[in-house]
Parts: sequence; C-alpha cells; structure tokens
Amino acid sequence: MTSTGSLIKTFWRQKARIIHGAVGIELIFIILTGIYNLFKGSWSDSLPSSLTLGYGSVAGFVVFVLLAQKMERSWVANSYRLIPTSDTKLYCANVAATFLSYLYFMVLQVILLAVSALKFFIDGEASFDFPAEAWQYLTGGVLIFISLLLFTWVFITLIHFVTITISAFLPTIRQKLFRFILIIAVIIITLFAGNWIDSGVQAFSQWLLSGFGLAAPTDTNVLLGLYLSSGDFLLSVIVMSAINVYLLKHWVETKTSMD
Amino acid sequence: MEFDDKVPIYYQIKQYIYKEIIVNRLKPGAKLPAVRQLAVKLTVNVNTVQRALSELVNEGILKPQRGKGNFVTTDISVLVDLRRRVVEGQLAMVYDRLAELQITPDEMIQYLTNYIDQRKEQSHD
Amino acid sequence: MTDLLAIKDLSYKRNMHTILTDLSLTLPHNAIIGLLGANGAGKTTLMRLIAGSATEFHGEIRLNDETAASIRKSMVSFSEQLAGLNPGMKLNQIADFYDRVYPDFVRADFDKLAQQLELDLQKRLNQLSKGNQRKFTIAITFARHVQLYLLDEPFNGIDSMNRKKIIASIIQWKPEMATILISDHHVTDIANLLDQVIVVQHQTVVAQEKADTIREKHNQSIEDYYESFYEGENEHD
Repeated sequence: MTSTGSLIKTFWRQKARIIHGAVGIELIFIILTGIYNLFKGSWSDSLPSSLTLGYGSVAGFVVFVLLAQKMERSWVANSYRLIPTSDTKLYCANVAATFLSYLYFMVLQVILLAVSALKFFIDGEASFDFPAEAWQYLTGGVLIFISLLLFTWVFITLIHFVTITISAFLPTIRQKLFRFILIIAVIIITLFAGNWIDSGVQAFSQWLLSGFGLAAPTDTNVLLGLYLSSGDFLLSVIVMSAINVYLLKHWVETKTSMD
Repeated sequence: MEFDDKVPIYYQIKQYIYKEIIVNRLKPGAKLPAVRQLAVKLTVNVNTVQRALSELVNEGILKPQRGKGNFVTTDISVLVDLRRRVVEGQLAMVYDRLAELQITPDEMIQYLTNYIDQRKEQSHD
Repeated sequence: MTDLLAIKDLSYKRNMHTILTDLSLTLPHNAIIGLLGANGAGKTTLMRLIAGSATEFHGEIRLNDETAASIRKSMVSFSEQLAGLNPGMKLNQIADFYDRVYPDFVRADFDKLAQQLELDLQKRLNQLSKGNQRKFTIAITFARHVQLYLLDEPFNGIDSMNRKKIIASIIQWKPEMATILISDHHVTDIANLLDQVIVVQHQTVVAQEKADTIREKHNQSIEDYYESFYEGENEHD
C-alpha cells in the first residue's frame, strides 16, 4: 500500500508545477509592464505593488481553475486511480494537496507584494502596525476566502461525479449532449438544494446569534457572521466530500484509452 | 527456432535437445543454459522449458545438479540408446508411410539403397 | 495451492449495455494465459474490473482471497496504468512518479528493462513512436513486482522487431510465481508463450483450456482452436 505521505507529496509535486508556472508568467508580465511604464515615463513608486496585485488576482483565478482541472482529471485517470490505496485516502490526499498548494500560492503572493512594496517599508511609510480589529477582519476574510475555495473545488467534484454516475445509466449514443444537459441540470438542482439547506443553517445561526443577544449589527456580530459562514462552508465541504468518496468508490471509473 | 503450432511445444523442445546431443553440439557432461535463458532463446514460456527438461531428466538424459543446473549425462549407454531411439523414430515414420503404400520390406530396402545412391551422386555434382 | 484469482458470477453493465454476464473464471499461480476474443468481446472490461479501473459490478473478484479493490491494486500491474498521465512528461519523470507511488516498483529493474528495450528516457511520452510507447508500457508494467500482470493487446499496431523484443522481456522479467494474462485478437503472436487460453464470447468465458491439451488431444493449433468458436458466425474479424 502507498503511504498517505507519499500520496500527498506526489499530488503536491503535480500541483506545485502549475503554481510555479503561473507565478513565473505573472513575474514576466509584472516586469514587462514595469519596463514599458519606465520607458513611457509613467513610472511611480506604487506601480510594482499595484501590478503585483492586478496580475496576482488574475493568476489566482487561473491557478484556481487549473488546479480544479488537474484534480478532476486525476479522478478518471488510471495513473492515479490504480495507485494501491483506498479511494478515501486518494480523495483526501488530492483535495488536501490542491488546498495546500493554493495556500502556497497565496504565501508566494504575499512575499511578492511585500517585495514590491519594499521601498515604502524602508521609507517607513508603510508598516504592519494595523489596529487589532483590522487583523481580526483580515483573518475572518482570509478564512472565508479559503473555505469558499475549498467549497468550490469540492462542489465541482460533486457535479463531475454525479454527472458521471447518472450518465453511466444513459445509452452511449448522444453521450456528449446528454452530459451537457446533465451538468446544467445537476448544477441547478444542487444549487437549489444547497440554498435550501443554507437558509436552514442561516436561520439556525440567526437564532444562535439572537441567543447571544447579538442581533444588532455590531462589529463582533459581523465577525461572528464571517466565522459562522466559513464554518457553514466547511460543514458543506465535509458533507459533499462524504458523497464524493462514496461516488468515487462505486461509480467513478477511469477513462479507457478509447474515450 | 520455429515451432509447429499443432504439436506441444515441450515435445518440440525435447526433440531439439535430442538433436543437439546427437550431433554433438551438446557433448556428454555439458551444462545446459539456465531455464529462463533457454526460454528467452526459444521464445517460449519458462514452464514449457521446465516441463521438457524434467522429462529429459526422467529419461536419464539430463542429470540435474543441485544449484548448478542441468548437465548432459556422461553415461554413454544412455546416449547410444537415445541415438537409436531417435533414429528408430524417424525410420518408423518412413516405414509406416511406405507400408501404407503396400511396399514390402524387401522393396523398401531396395528403394532406400537406390535413393541413397541417387543422393550421393547429386551431392558429387 | 489455491488459485491466484477466482471470479464468480461477474456481471457488468454500463450505458444500458450489458458487457459481461455471469462470468466465472480461475487463474492459477505461475502461468502465462491468453485471453482471446473478438474486438468488443469484453476482454478490456474484464481486465479493468480485475485491476480496479472499473468499479460497479455484480459478483465477486477474489485475488489471493482478497476482495477489497485497494488490496487488489497492490497485487496487479495493468498495462493501462499509464493512461491519463500528462503526455508532455519525460520517461524519466514518469518512472520517478511510479517509484514514489508504487511501493512494489523497483527503479533499478526499470532502468535495466528500459536499456534492454532501447528506450531513451530523456524523451517525452508524446515523442515516442507507437512501438516505443508499447515498450515503455512493458518496462513500467514489469518494473513492478506483483503477482498478476494484465497486458491488454500489448502488440497492437507494432512491427515484428519490437514484438520480439517485448516478448523476450516478458519471458525474462516474469517473476517466478507470477501469472500473466495477455489479451490479443491475433493469437499467433503469442501462441508459443501460453500455458492456457481463455476464450471470451457472448459476454462470458466459453472455454478455458491448457495449450498442451489443445495440441495433444484436439491435435489443433491454438489459432484453429480459437477460430473454431467463430465457425458459422460472421462477427470474427
């Protein structure tokens, strides 16, 4: 049996390649745009950081999509599915590696940003000396961003698996058309179901909040709301993951070389 | 080596080794290649070679030595007997075919002598 | 000694299409077995089920008395295990991947096999000719030390020189007690190699016979024996 450690390492390598590629291209774009501005005479000291922010968010989106694509492909590839391990471990390792590699990407972005704003730090115009509240909001924001990310990946996998499972029962002819209609239908139904469950959870958290006597929109209230919704997302991640593992084990077969 | 696909391969391997011994390419006391090596050389299954060799061992033609491999027997009487058996086998086929054609034993000898003379002349040309 | 593989009443259906019905089969240890059948008879599906690429079936697949797919995966090396890899990867990188992920993969053996099959490990997967792709697959498949090897049409679309090299590697690298199941719709390629043949027809196994028995008792070549199942049918190609 393959150890979970070497599984995560393998998935990590596969994904780190994507991230290094994306950050490399991002850097090239930043430098080229910087040089262009230098020649045009429109250089300003804040340009590097705004370029980093701008290209960084584009790269962030691209990396997110590429990671999702990589993950979905590996579910139906013999090269990953025949690895001697349980489907549960394979699933967890792949999702964990996807998630960790995105965190890695974010760390790289923070470093880039810090470097691009180095001048301001040296001049003492910028510092990390934020009020405590700002830190709290930042943490809450990051937390909700991260859980939303995880949620979206797991959700994409769920749609993928449900589509595969249902199409296994449909005839081979017009498989592409069927699949397309199915994907749309599954997304709509899942969103409805998700919405319905979510409103239940929201009502519950409202009740919880009011129980704490926090119905008024205070800062703590907003923060608590942030934490609660990320908790909500994470809970859905766990529920969807349980369904995903079940489907992976029973219905998600690898592609044949003829497909 | 080309095999006849209608005849068991192990049997053909035995015939092949018989021939190698009779024409002295495998001398008395010589070591046979390892089973897997033989299998690769003949492009056949290791099990098939194993079966052929173990039958040769049972016939006393090969002598296995623990951990060393298989050796052609040095017992000359066994080898003489082998030679006789193989030649007889070939003769038996010719005899049966000719007998089917209702050729008498005396005629067979005559035909054979004539044929041999004919072949000799051909090879002299 | 008990059987290596025991399949009982295996049925498999996909896309409203029955592919295998009530298939039962046992494979012994230490044998090379030909899996014969026309295109589309279900040979690949059977291998996918044994290997664990296909998951939803009825019946039982027991390998060394284990039914769990994850354990089966650790005992089977399937020639389709490269499917889905990034074709831009170098052969070296792919070997590294296998070395990391499969505990039974022996890198030194892979290197020997690759050398024997004259593979350039600096090349990328998508730069290889069909023949070299097949050879690479064989090198990866046999660098794993397992009990059951599944080779799905290993000679499809390659010339006789490469075929001979692959056959030589198969003979040389089969671990002593391991069993190899080879599917082929052109039997003559492998007839000399086989201990047994299994014929798949009408979604199930219709015959399993020892090669020597076919030749000794039926006085037939394996090809004739195989073709006798298609007499009176025109689906044979």
